[in-house]
Amino acid sequence: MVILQRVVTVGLLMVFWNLVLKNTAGNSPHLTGLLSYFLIADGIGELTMATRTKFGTLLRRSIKTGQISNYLMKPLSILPAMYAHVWGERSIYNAPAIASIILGLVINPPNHWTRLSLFFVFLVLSMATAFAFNLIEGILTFWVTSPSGIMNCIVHTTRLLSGAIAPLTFFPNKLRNIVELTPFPAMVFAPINSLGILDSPISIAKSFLIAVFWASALNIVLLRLWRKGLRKYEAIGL
Amino acid sequence: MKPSVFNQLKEALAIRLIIIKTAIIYSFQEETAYPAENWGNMLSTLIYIATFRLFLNILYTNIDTLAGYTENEMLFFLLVGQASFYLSWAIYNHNIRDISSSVNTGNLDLVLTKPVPSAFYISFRKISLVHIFRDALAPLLFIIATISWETLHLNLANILIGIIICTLGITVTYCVYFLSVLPSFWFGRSDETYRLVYLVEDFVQKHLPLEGASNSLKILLGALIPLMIGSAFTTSVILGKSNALALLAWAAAVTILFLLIRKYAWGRALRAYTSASS
Repeated sequence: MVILQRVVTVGLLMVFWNLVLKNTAGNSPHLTGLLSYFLIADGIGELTMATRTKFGTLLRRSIKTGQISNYLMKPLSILPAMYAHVWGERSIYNAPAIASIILGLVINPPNHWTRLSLFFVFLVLSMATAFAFNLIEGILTFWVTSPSGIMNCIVHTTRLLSGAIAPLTFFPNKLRNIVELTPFPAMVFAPINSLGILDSPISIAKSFLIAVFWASALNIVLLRLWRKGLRKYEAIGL
Repeated sequence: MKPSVFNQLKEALAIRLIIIKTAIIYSFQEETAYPAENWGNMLSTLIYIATFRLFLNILYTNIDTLAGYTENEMLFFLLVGQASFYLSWAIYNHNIRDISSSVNTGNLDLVLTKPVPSAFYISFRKISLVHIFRDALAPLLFIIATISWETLHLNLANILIGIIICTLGITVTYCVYFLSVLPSFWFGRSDETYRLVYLVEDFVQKHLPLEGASNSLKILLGALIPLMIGSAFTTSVILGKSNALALLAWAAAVTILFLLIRKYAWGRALRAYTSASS
Protein backbone atom coordinates (compact mmCIF):
# COMPACT_ATOMS: atom_id res chain seq x y z
CA MET A 1 0.00 0.00 0.00
CA VAL A 2 2.89 2.36 0.80
CA ILE A 3 4.42 1.64 -2.60
CA LEU A 4 1.05 2.20 -4.26
CA GLN A 5 0.75 5.57 -2.49
CA ARG A 6 4.15 6.59 -3.83
CA VAL A 7 3.25 5.46 -7.36
CA VAL A 8 -0.08 7.30 -7.19
CA THR A 9 1.53 10.48 -5.82
CA VAL A 10 4.12 10.65 -8.58
CA GLY A 11 1.59 9.49 -11.21
CA LEU A 12 -0.85 12.28 -10.32
CA LEU A 13 1.92 14.87 -10.33
CA MET A 14 2.85 13.67 -13.81
CA VAL A 15 -0.77 13.98 -15.00
CA PHE A 16 -0.79 17.55 -13.75
CA TRP A 17 2.60 18.53 -15.16
CA ASN A 18 1.73 16.90 -18.47
CA LEU A 19 -1.23 19.29 -18.61
CA VAL A 20 1.05 22.19 -17.77
CA LEU A 21 3.63 21.24 -20.41
CA LYS A 22 0.91 21.04 -23.08
CA ASN A 23 0.29 24.73 -22.46
CA THR A 24 3.90 25.84 -22.07
CA ALA A 25 5.66 27.52 -24.95
CA GLY A 26 9.41 27.68 -25.58
CA ASN A 27 12.05 25.91 -23.48
CA SER A 28 9.83 23.65 -21.44
CA PRO A 29 11.34 20.68 -19.61
CA HIS A 30 10.69 17.18 -21.00
CA LEU A 31 8.17 14.92 -19.33
CA THR A 32 10.77 12.22 -18.59
CA GLY A 33 12.97 14.90 -16.99
CA LEU A 34 10.07 15.95 -14.82
CA LEU A 35 9.20 12.34 -13.98
CA SER A 36 12.77 11.80 -12.84
CA TYR A 37 12.68 15.09 -10.87
CA PHE A 38 9.51 14.20 -8.97
CA LEU A 39 10.59 10.62 -8.26
CA ILE A 40 13.81 11.92 -6.68
CA ALA A 41 12.07 14.87 -4.97
CA ASP A 42 9.42 12.61 -3.47
CA GLY A 43 12.04 10.16 -2.24
CA ILE A 44 14.22 12.89 -0.69
CA GLY A 45 11.24 14.57 1.01
CA GLU A 46 10.20 11.28 2.59
CA LEU A 47 13.70 10.11 3.50
CA THR A 48 14.85 13.34 5.14
CA MET A 49 11.43 13.98 6.72
CA ALA A 50 11.39 17.43 5.15
CA THR A 51 7.88 17.18 3.73
CA ARG A 52 6.43 14.97 6.49
CA THR A 53 7.92 15.93 9.86
CA LYS A 54 7.61 12.56 11.56
CA PHE A 55 10.59 13.17 13.85
CA GLY A 56 9.03 16.47 14.91
CA THR A 57 5.72 14.71 15.54
CA LEU A 58 7.43 12.16 17.80
CA LEU A 59 9.14 14.95 19.75
CA ARG A 60 5.86 16.84 20.12
CA ARG A 61 3.91 13.80 21.30
CA SER A 62 6.64 12.68 23.67
CA ILE A 63 6.85 16.09 25.31
CA LYS A 64 3.09 16.58 25.46
CA THR A 65 2.41 13.18 27.02
CA GLY A 66 5.50 13.12 29.20
CA GLN A 67 6.90 10.04 27.46
CA ILE A 68 10.13 11.90 26.79
CA SER A 69 10.97 11.13 30.42
CA ASN A 70 11.66 7.54 29.30
CA TYR A 71 14.52 8.89 27.19
CA LEU A 72 15.69 11.46 29.73
CA MET A 73 16.30 8.89 32.46
CA LYS A 74 18.52 6.79 30.20
CA PRO A 75 22.26 7.50 29.79
CA LEU A 76 22.04 8.42 26.12
CA SER A 77 21.75 11.45 23.87
CA ILE A 78 18.05 12.03 23.50
CA LEU A 79 17.89 13.54 20.02
CA PRO A 80 20.03 10.94 18.18
CA ALA A 81 18.18 8.16 20.01
CA MET A 82 14.77 9.52 19.07
CA TYR A 83 15.89 10.23 15.50
CA ALA A 84 17.10 6.64 15.18
CA HIS A 85 13.80 5.45 16.68
CA VAL A 86 11.83 7.27 13.96
CA TRP A 87 14.14 5.96 11.25
CA GLY A 88 13.59 2.42 12.44
CA GLU A 89 9.86 2.92 12.69
CA ARG A 90 9.72 4.41 9.21
CA SER A 91 11.86 1.84 7.44
CA ILE A 92 8.74 0.59 5.64
CA TYR A 93 8.39 4.10 4.12
CA ASN A 94 12.12 4.67 3.63
CA ALA A 95 12.64 1.59 1.46
CA PRO A 96 10.20 2.79 -1.27
CA ALA A 97 11.66 6.32 -0.90
CA ILE A 98 15.15 5.01 -1.69
CA ALA A 99 13.72 2.95 -4.57
CA SER A 100 12.02 6.12 -5.86
CA ILE A 101 15.34 8.02 -5.85
CA ILE A 102 17.13 5.14 -7.63
CA LEU A 103 14.37 4.92 -10.26
CA GLY A 104 14.60 8.67 -10.85
CA LEU A 105 18.36 8.37 -11.31
CA VAL A 106 17.95 5.46 -13.73
CA ILE A 107 15.40 7.33 -15.87
CA ASN A 108 17.54 10.45 -16.11
CA PRO A 109 21.09 9.53 -15.04
CA PRO A 110 23.74 12.18 -14.24
CA ASN A 111 26.43 12.46 -16.90
CA HIS A 112 29.38 11.91 -14.53
CA TRP A 113 29.94 9.89 -11.34
CA THR A 114 31.20 13.02 -9.50
CA ARG A 115 27.66 14.36 -9.78
CA LEU A 116 26.45 11.35 -7.82
CA SER A 117 29.02 12.03 -5.08
CA LEU A 118 27.86 15.65 -4.96
CA PHE A 119 24.29 14.41 -4.67
CA PHE A 120 25.16 12.45 -1.53
CA VAL A 121 26.89 15.47 -0.01
CA PHE A 122 23.79 17.57 -0.67
CA LEU A 123 21.60 14.77 0.70
CA VAL A 124 23.48 14.91 4.01
CA LEU A 125 23.00 18.70 4.11
CA SER A 126 19.33 18.18 3.29
CA MET A 127 18.99 15.77 6.22
CA ALA A 128 20.69 18.21 8.56
CA THR A 129 18.42 21.08 7.51
CA ALA A 130 15.29 18.91 7.72
CA PHE A 131 16.46 17.69 11.16
CA ALA A 132 16.48 21.33 12.32
CA PHE A 133 13.00 21.94 10.89
CA ASN A 134 11.70 18.87 12.72
CA LEU A 135 13.36 20.11 15.89
CA ILE A 136 11.32 23.34 15.71
CA GLU A 137 8.18 21.27 16.37
CA GLY A 138 9.68 19.79 19.52
CA ILE A 139 10.98 23.14 20.77
CA LEU A 140 7.65 24.86 20.22
CA THR A 141 5.92 22.18 22.31
CA PHE A 142 7.84 23.34 25.40
CA TRP A 143 6.13 26.74 25.15
CA VAL A 144 2.90 26.09 23.21
CA THR A 145 0.73 23.13 24.24
CA SER A 146 -0.02 21.96 20.73
CA PRO A 147 1.99 23.57 17.93
CA SER A 148 0.65 21.31 15.15
CA GLY A 149 -1.00 24.27 13.39
CA ILE A 150 2.21 26.32 13.38
CA MET A 151 4.10 23.27 12.19
CA ASN A 152 1.60 22.76 9.35
CA CYS A 153 2.38 26.34 8.21
CA ILE A 154 6.06 25.45 8.03
CA VAL A 155 5.38 22.18 6.18
CA HIS A 156 3.11 23.86 3.60
CA THR A 157 5.73 26.53 2.96
CA THR A 158 8.45 23.88 2.78
CA ARG A 159 6.55 21.84 0.20
CA LEU A 160 6.33 24.78 -2.17
CA LEU A 161 9.64 26.56 -1.61
CA SER A 162 11.79 23.43 -1.33
CA GLY A 163 10.82 22.40 -4.85
CA ALA A 164 8.84 19.35 -3.73
CA ILE A 165 5.74 20.24 -5.79
CA ALA A 166 7.31 22.50 -8.44
CA PRO A 167 10.94 22.74 -9.56
CA LEU A 168 12.50 26.08 -8.66
CA THR A 169 13.46 26.46 -12.32
CA PHE A 170 9.76 27.09 -12.94
CA PHE A 171 9.71 30.10 -10.59
CA PRO A 172 9.90 33.66 -11.97
CA ASN A 173 13.52 34.89 -11.76
CA LYS A 174 12.95 37.52 -9.07
CA LEU A 175 11.16 35.11 -6.76
CA ARG A 176 13.69 32.36 -7.49
CA ASN A 177 16.60 34.62 -6.52
CA ILE A 178 14.96 35.30 -3.16
CA VAL A 179 13.92 31.69 -2.50
CA GLU A 180 17.45 30.46 -3.29
CA LEU A 181 18.73 32.35 -0.24
CA THR A 182 16.31 30.66 2.17
CA PRO A 183 16.90 27.25 3.81
CA PHE A 184 14.01 25.58 1.93
CA PRO A 185 15.73 24.63 -1.38
CA ALA A 186 18.51 22.89 0.57
CA MET A 187 16.00 20.23 1.60
CA VAL A 188 14.80 18.98 -1.81
CA PHE A 189 15.83 21.10 -4.78
CA ALA A 190 19.57 21.47 -4.07
CA PRO A 191 20.36 17.71 -4.11
CA ILE A 192 18.54 17.29 -7.44
CA ASN A 193 20.18 20.42 -8.84
CA SER A 194 23.59 18.97 -7.96
CA LEU A 195 22.95 16.01 -10.29
CA GLY A 196 23.05 18.34 -13.29
CA ILE A 197 19.92 16.82 -14.81
CA LEU A 198 17.84 20.03 -14.81
CA ASP A 199 17.35 22.12 -17.92
CA SER A 200 18.34 25.42 -16.30
CA PRO A 201 20.33 24.55 -13.17
CA ILE A 202 21.31 26.92 -10.39
CA SER A 203 24.99 27.46 -9.51
CA ILE A 204 26.10 24.45 -7.43
CA ALA A 205 28.78 26.39 -5.53
CA LYS A 206 26.26 29.03 -4.45
CA SER A 207 23.68 26.39 -3.59
CA PHE A 208 26.31 24.46 -1.57
CA LEU A 209 27.38 27.50 0.46
CA ILE A 210 23.79 28.42 1.24
CA ALA A 211 22.96 24.83 2.25
CA VAL A 212 26.02 24.58 4.53
CA PHE A 213 25.19 27.92 6.13
CA TRP A 214 21.59 27.01 6.90
CA ALA A 215 22.31 23.43 7.98
CA SER A 216 24.87 24.65 10.53
CA ALA A 217 23.22 27.90 11.62
CA LEU A 218 19.78 26.36 12.15
CA ASN A 219 21.16 23.39 14.07
CA ILE A 220 23.38 25.53 16.31
CA VAL A 221 20.57 27.93 17.21
CA LEU A 222 17.86 25.31 17.54
CA LEU A 223 19.95 22.90 19.64
CA ARG A 224 20.52 25.77 22.09
CA LEU A 225 16.79 26.45 22.20
CA TRP A 226 16.13 22.72 22.65
CA ARG A 227 18.36 22.64 25.75
CA LYS A 228 16.60 25.74 27.06
CA GLY A 229 13.25 24.05 26.47
CA LEU A 230 14.37 20.90 28.26
CA ARG A 231 15.21 22.95 31.35
CA LYS A 232 11.63 24.22 31.29
CA TYR A 233 10.16 20.72 30.97
CA GLU A 234 8.46 19.42 34.12
CA ALA A 235 8.47 15.68 33.39
CA ILE A 236 4.75 15.13 33.84
CA GLY A 237 3.73 16.16 30.36
CA LEU A 238 2.22 19.51 29.39
CA MET B 1 -49.25 -3.58 17.57
CA LYS B 2 -46.70 -3.09 14.79
CA PRO B 3 -45.72 0.59 14.32
CA SER B 4 -46.71 2.16 11.00
CA VAL B 5 -44.12 2.97 8.32
CA PHE B 6 -44.61 6.67 9.08
CA ASN B 7 -43.87 6.15 12.79
CA GLN B 8 -40.80 4.06 11.97
CA LEU B 9 -39.50 6.80 9.67
CA LYS B 10 -40.24 9.45 12.31
CA GLU B 11 -38.38 7.43 14.94
CA ALA B 12 -35.40 6.83 12.62
CA LEU B 13 -35.19 10.54 11.80
CA ALA B 14 -35.56 11.59 15.45
CA ILE B 15 -32.71 9.37 16.61
CA ARG B 16 -30.45 10.69 13.85
CA LEU B 17 -31.25 14.29 14.81
CA ILE B 18 -30.39 13.52 18.44
CA ILE B 19 -27.04 12.04 17.32
CA ILE B 20 -26.28 15.16 15.24
CA LYS B 21 -27.19 17.55 18.11
CA THR B 22 -25.08 15.64 20.64
CA ALA B 23 -22.19 15.40 18.17
CA ILE B 24 -22.16 19.16 17.59
CA ILE B 25 -22.22 20.05 21.32
CA TYR B 26 -19.53 17.52 22.28
CA SER B 27 -17.25 18.51 19.40
CA PHE B 28 -17.58 22.20 20.31
CA GLN B 29 -16.53 21.56 23.92
CA GLU B 30 -13.62 19.38 22.83
CA GLU B 31 -12.31 21.75 20.17
CA THR B 32 -12.38 24.96 22.15
CA ALA B 33 -10.22 23.43 24.91
CA TYR B 34 -6.86 24.51 23.40
CA PRO B 35 -6.91 28.18 22.26
CA ALA B 36 -3.30 28.17 21.01
CA GLU B 37 -4.05 25.18 18.80
CA ASN B 38 -7.11 26.94 17.40
CA TRP B 39 -5.11 30.00 16.38
CA GLY B 40 -2.33 27.81 15.04
CA ASN B 41 -4.75 25.83 12.88
CA MET B 42 -6.38 28.98 11.55
CA LEU B 43 -2.99 30.33 10.57
CA SER B 44 -2.00 26.98 9.10
CA THR B 45 -4.95 26.74 6.70
CA LEU B 46 -4.49 30.36 5.68
CA ILE B 47 -0.79 29.84 4.94
CA TYR B 48 -1.64 26.65 3.08
CA ILE B 49 -3.98 28.49 0.73
CA ALA B 50 -1.56 31.40 0.41
CA THR B 51 1.23 29.03 -0.67
CA PHE B 52 -1.10 27.34 -3.15
CA ARG B 53 -2.10 30.77 -4.48
CA LEU B 54 1.60 31.51 -4.92
CA PHE B 55 2.02 28.17 -6.70
CA LEU B 56 -0.75 29.08 -9.15
CA ASN B 57 0.85 32.46 -9.64
CA ILE B 58 4.20 30.82 -10.46
CA LEU B 59 2.47 28.39 -12.80
CA TYR B 60 0.59 31.06 -14.72
CA THR B 61 3.75 33.06 -15.34
CA ASN B 62 4.66 30.11 -17.63
CA ILE B 63 1.23 29.37 -19.15
CA ASP B 64 -1.93 31.24 -20.20
CA THR B 65 -4.48 28.52 -19.55
CA LEU B 66 -4.50 25.09 -17.95
CA ALA B 67 -6.93 22.66 -19.60
CA GLY B 68 -8.79 25.74 -20.82
CA TYR B 69 -8.94 27.31 -17.35
CA THR B 70 -7.59 30.81 -16.83
CA GLU B 71 -5.87 31.65 -13.54
CA ASN B 72 -9.10 33.20 -12.31
CA GLU B 73 -11.11 30.08 -13.19
CA MET B 74 -8.51 27.90 -11.45
CA LEU B 75 -9.00 30.05 -8.34
CA PHE B 76 -12.74 29.40 -8.57
CA PHE B 77 -12.00 25.68 -8.94
CA LEU B 78 -9.82 25.93 -5.83
CA LEU B 79 -12.65 27.66 -3.95
CA VAL B 80 -15.15 24.90 -4.80
CA GLY B 81 -12.64 22.17 -3.96
CA GLN B 82 -11.69 23.71 -0.63
CA ALA B 83 -15.30 24.42 0.36
CA SER B 84 -16.31 20.81 -0.26
CA PHE B 85 -13.16 19.57 1.49
CA TYR B 86 -13.80 21.60 4.67
CA LEU B 87 -17.46 20.62 4.75
CA SER B 88 -16.68 16.93 4.42
CA TRP B 89 -13.86 17.19 6.96
CA ALA B 90 -16.09 18.92 9.50
CA ILE B 91 -19.02 16.56 9.06
CA TYR B 92 -17.63 13.06 8.64
CA ASN B 93 -14.04 12.71 7.54
CA HIS B 94 -12.31 12.64 10.93
CA ASN B 95 -14.94 10.20 12.23
CA ILE B 96 -14.25 7.80 9.37
CA ARG B 97 -10.50 8.10 9.90
CA ASP B 98 -11.02 6.78 13.45
CA ILE B 99 -13.01 3.70 12.40
CA SER B 100 -9.88 1.69 11.64
CA SER B 101 -8.45 2.14 15.14
CA SER B 102 -11.89 1.47 16.71
CA VAL B 103 -11.98 -1.87 14.93
CA ASN B 104 -8.37 -2.62 15.78
CA THR B 105 -8.74 -1.94 19.49
CA GLY B 106 -12.23 -3.41 19.81
CA ASN B 107 -13.75 -0.02 20.73
CA LEU B 108 -16.36 -0.57 18.05
CA ASP B 109 -18.08 -2.89 20.54
CA LEU B 110 -19.26 0.17 22.46
CA VAL B 111 -20.85 1.60 19.32
CA LEU B 112 -22.54 -1.66 18.40
CA THR B 113 -24.10 -2.05 21.83
CA LYS B 114 -25.85 1.34 21.57
CA PRO B 115 -29.46 1.28 20.28
CA VAL B 116 -28.63 3.57 17.35
CA PRO B 117 -28.03 3.03 13.62
CA SER B 118 -24.35 2.05 13.83
CA ALA B 119 -23.06 3.19 10.41
CA PHE B 120 -24.73 6.58 10.81
CA TYR B 121 -23.51 7.02 14.38
CA ILE B 122 -19.93 6.05 13.61
CA SER B 123 -19.85 8.39 10.59
CA PHE B 124 -21.26 11.47 12.30
CA ARG B 125 -20.46 11.11 15.98
CA LYS B 126 -18.41 14.31 16.00
CA ILE B 127 -19.57 17.23 13.88
CA SER B 128 -17.08 20.01 14.11
CA LEU B 129 -18.68 23.39 13.51
CA VAL B 130 -15.68 25.02 15.20
CA HIS B 131 -13.54 23.44 12.49
CA ILE B 132 -15.52 25.22 9.76
CA PHE B 133 -15.24 28.64 11.42
CA ARG B 134 -11.70 28.20 12.67
CA ASP B 135 -10.03 26.49 9.71
CA ALA B 136 -12.22 27.15 6.70
CA LEU B 137 -13.44 30.72 7.02
CA ALA B 138 -10.12 32.56 6.64
CA PRO B 139 -8.80 30.59 3.62
CA LEU B 140 -12.16 30.62 1.85
CA LEU B 141 -12.51 34.38 2.34
CA PHE B 142 -8.94 34.77 1.08
CA ILE B 143 -9.76 32.87 -2.13
CA ILE B 144 -13.03 34.76 -2.57
CA ALA B 145 -11.16 38.05 -2.23
CA THR B 146 -8.58 37.07 -4.86
CA ILE B 147 -11.09 35.96 -7.50
CA SER B 148 -12.01 38.52 -10.13
CA TRP B 149 -15.75 37.79 -10.11
CA GLU B 150 -16.75 40.05 -12.97
CA THR B 151 -14.75 37.98 -15.46
CA LEU B 152 -16.51 34.71 -14.53
CA HIS B 153 -19.60 33.87 -16.59
CA LEU B 154 -22.03 32.69 -13.94
CA ASN B 155 -25.78 32.12 -14.15
CA LEU B 156 -28.28 31.13 -11.49
CA ALA B 157 -29.42 27.86 -13.09
CA ASN B 158 -25.87 26.56 -13.36
CA ILE B 159 -25.08 27.65 -9.80
CA LEU B 160 -28.11 25.78 -8.43
CA ILE B 161 -27.31 22.61 -10.38
CA GLY B 162 -23.68 23.01 -9.30
CA ILE B 163 -24.71 23.13 -5.63
CA ILE B 164 -26.75 19.92 -6.06
CA ILE B 165 -23.80 18.20 -7.78
CA CYS B 166 -21.46 19.40 -5.05
CA THR B 167 -23.79 17.91 -2.38
CA LEU B 168 -23.89 14.64 -4.30
CA GLY B 169 -20.10 14.81 -4.63
CA ILE B 170 -19.65 15.22 -0.86
CA THR B 171 -22.01 12.27 -0.30
CA VAL B 172 -20.23 10.00 -2.76
CA THR B 173 -16.82 11.02 -1.38
CA TYR B 174 -18.16 10.02 2.05
CA CYS B 175 -18.97 6.57 0.63
CA VAL B 176 -15.48 6.20 -0.88
CA TYR B 177 -13.81 7.14 2.42
CA PHE B 178 -16.14 4.81 4.30
CA LEU B 179 -15.29 1.92 1.98
CA SER B 180 -11.57 2.71 2.31
CA VAL B 181 -11.57 1.94 6.05
CA LEU B 182 -13.61 -1.26 5.88
CA PRO B 183 -10.60 -3.51 5.11
CA SER B 184 -9.75 -3.04 8.82
CA PHE B 185 -12.56 -5.51 9.62
CA TRP B 186 -10.62 -8.22 7.78
CA PHE B 187 -6.99 -7.12 8.08
CA GLY B 188 -6.93 -5.29 11.43
CA ARG B 189 -5.95 -1.86 10.09
CA SER B 190 -6.68 0.20 7.02
CA ASP B 191 -4.97 3.54 7.70
CA GLU B 192 -2.98 3.32 4.49
CA THR B 193 -6.01 2.75 2.22
CA TYR B 194 -7.65 5.76 3.89
CA ARG B 195 -4.49 7.77 3.31
CA LEU B 196 -4.41 6.73 -0.32
CA VAL B 197 -7.95 8.05 -0.84
CA TYR B 198 -6.97 11.24 1.00
CA LEU B 199 -3.94 11.73 -1.27
CA VAL B 200 -6.02 11.31 -4.42
CA GLU B 201 -8.84 13.56 -3.17
CA ASP B 202 -6.40 16.26 -2.09
CA PHE B 203 -4.81 16.23 -5.54
CA VAL B 204 -8.01 16.04 -7.56
CA GLN B 205 -9.65 18.93 -5.68
CA LYS B 206 -6.89 21.39 -6.50
CA HIS B 207 -5.02 20.27 -9.59
CA LEU B 208 -7.30 18.46 -12.00
CA PRO B 209 -10.17 20.29 -13.73
CA LEU B 210 -12.67 18.02 -15.49
CA GLU B 211 -11.55 19.28 -18.90
CA GLY B 212 -7.95 18.29 -18.11
CA ALA B 213 -8.77 14.64 -17.45
CA SER B 214 -8.48 12.05 -20.20
CA ASN B 215 -11.50 9.80 -20.81
CA SER B 216 -9.98 6.96 -18.81
CA LEU B 217 -9.27 9.32 -15.90
CA LYS B 218 -12.84 10.61 -16.07
CA ILE B 219 -14.13 7.05 -15.74
CA LEU B 220 -11.65 6.26 -12.97
CA LEU B 221 -12.17 9.40 -10.87
CA GLY B 222 -15.74 10.14 -11.93
CA ALA B 223 -17.25 6.66 -11.56
CA LEU B 224 -14.95 3.97 -10.13
CA ILE B 225 -13.35 6.08 -7.37
CA PRO B 226 -15.61 9.11 -7.75
CA LEU B 227 -13.59 11.82 -6.01
CA MET B 228 -13.92 14.30 -8.86
CA ILE B 229 -17.62 14.99 -8.58
CA GLY B 230 -17.61 17.42 -5.62
CA SER B 231 -15.05 19.78 -7.11
CA ALA B 232 -14.28 19.23 -10.83
CA PHE B 233 -17.84 18.39 -11.94
CA THR B 234 -19.29 21.23 -9.86
CA THR B 235 -16.83 23.83 -11.16
CA SER B 236 -17.26 22.76 -14.76
CA VAL B 237 -21.06 23.08 -14.48
CA ILE B 238 -21.03 26.44 -12.66
CA LEU B 239 -18.60 27.91 -15.18
CA GLY B 240 -20.79 26.64 -18.03
CA LYS B 241 -18.07 24.46 -19.52
CA SER B 242 -20.11 21.21 -19.52
CA ASN B 243 -23.64 20.01 -20.04
CA ALA B 244 -25.13 20.62 -16.58
CA LEU B 245 -27.99 18.12 -16.76
CA ALA B 246 -25.81 15.31 -18.11
CA LEU B 247 -23.31 15.76 -15.26
CA LEU B 248 -26.15 16.02 -12.73
CA ALA B 249 -27.57 12.70 -13.94
CA TRP B 250 -24.10 11.12 -13.84
CA ALA B 251 -23.46 12.41 -10.31
CA ALA B 252 -26.86 11.24 -9.07
CA ALA B 253 -26.48 7.75 -10.56
CA VAL B 254 -22.97 7.26 -9.15
CA THR B 255 -24.03 8.54 -5.71
CA ILE B 256 -27.01 6.18 -5.48
CA LEU B 257 -24.84 3.26 -6.58
CA PHE B 258 -22.18 4.06 -3.99
CA LEU B 259 -24.73 4.49 -1.19
CA LEU B 260 -26.00 0.99 -1.96
CA ILE B 261 -22.45 -0.42 -2.10
CA ARG B 262 -21.64 1.27 1.22
CA LYS B 263 -24.72 -0.24 2.87
CA TYR B 264 -23.94 -3.71 1.55
CA ALA B 265 -20.24 -3.49 2.44
CA TRP B 266 -21.01 -2.32 6.00
CA GLY B 267 -23.25 -5.37 6.49
CA ARG B 268 -20.48 -7.67 5.27
CA ALA B 269 -17.91 -5.91 7.44
CA LEU B 270 -20.02 -6.27 10.58
CA ARG B 271 -20.39 -10.00 9.93
CA ALA B 272 -16.58 -10.23 9.74
CA TYR B 273 -16.08 -8.26 12.98
CA THR B 274 -14.70 -10.46 15.71
CA SER B 275 -15.60 -8.06 18.52
CA ALA B 276 -12.52 -8.81 20.61
CA SER B 277 -10.52 -6.59 18.24
CA SER B 278 -9.50 -7.62 14.75
